[in-house]
Amino acid sequence: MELEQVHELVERYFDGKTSLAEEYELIAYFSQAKVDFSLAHYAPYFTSISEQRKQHSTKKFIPHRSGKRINWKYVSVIAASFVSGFFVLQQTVFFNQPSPEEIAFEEFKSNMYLVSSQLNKGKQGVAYMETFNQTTEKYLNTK
Amino acid sequence: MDEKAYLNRILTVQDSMFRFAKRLLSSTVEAEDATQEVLGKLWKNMNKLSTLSNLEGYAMTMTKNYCLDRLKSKQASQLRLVHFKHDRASDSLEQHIANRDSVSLIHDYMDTLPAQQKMIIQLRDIEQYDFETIAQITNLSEGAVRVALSRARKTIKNKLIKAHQHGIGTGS
Repeated sequence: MELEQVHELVERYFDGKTSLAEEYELIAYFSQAKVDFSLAHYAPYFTSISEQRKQHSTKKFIPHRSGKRINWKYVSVIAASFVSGFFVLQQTVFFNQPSPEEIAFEEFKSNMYLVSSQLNKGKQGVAYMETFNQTTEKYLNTK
Repeated sequence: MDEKAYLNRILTVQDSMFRFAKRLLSSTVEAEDATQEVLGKLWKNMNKLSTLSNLEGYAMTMTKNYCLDRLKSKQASQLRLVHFKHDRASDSLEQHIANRDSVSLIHDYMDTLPAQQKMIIQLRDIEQYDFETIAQITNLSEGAVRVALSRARKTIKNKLIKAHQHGIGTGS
């Protein structure tokens, strides 16, 4: 390509008036080893462009699956609450375990209930004797 | 759309999607996440895509929307819209005029452009889309795309000229 032609193309390029084909020509010109001195300061731009075109990610993308990621922040919050909940539960279970004295006391209490209920049964059995006392007293105690 | 045909077509687009996302998000990891996310959404909508002649444009539009959402969202508040590297830039200007460093300087020039110009220059100069497709992706008129493109290129041109004069001035 003639130097004059390149100059003109560069001018139009920076005005945004070049076609894709012309831009291709420009990049081809600037990618060669000897670029004219008058245009040398533009060279980095065009080399950068053609280099950036080759850039790609090292990561392999999966085009056929939802790329939804697990939000580890939420997962950790849930896990932490589970773990702490487990400990709290264990502590309460431990502290609610009755001591031997308490067991003995409960045993004694239930025994005493048994005794007192039997006693009450006996008391009910003799309750009607009261009536006999009352009637006899009625006649005996008249003065 | 046939699954195999879809996979073949999407394979050619995903690098473009990744580069586009990287340009917008200024982060490789974020760009990879964005690409994967958009690919997942595309797969879900594959049946609807059968009517779309322009899968590439559709995929790029989705990438654009996703990236802009990411930039707006709270989660991405630590992401910078503009990627500043001024210290390094002036360093490399003074120390090396080698082509290699100028190339990375161009990255910085492109990253400091306004978001819309950044998008358009990426789509045109790196992905080589025609104006019609770019207009479709960015949801602008073709005229507006041309104007934004010429502004972006001129900004870069001025920076190149400035850097060149600076290089001569220091006599290296």
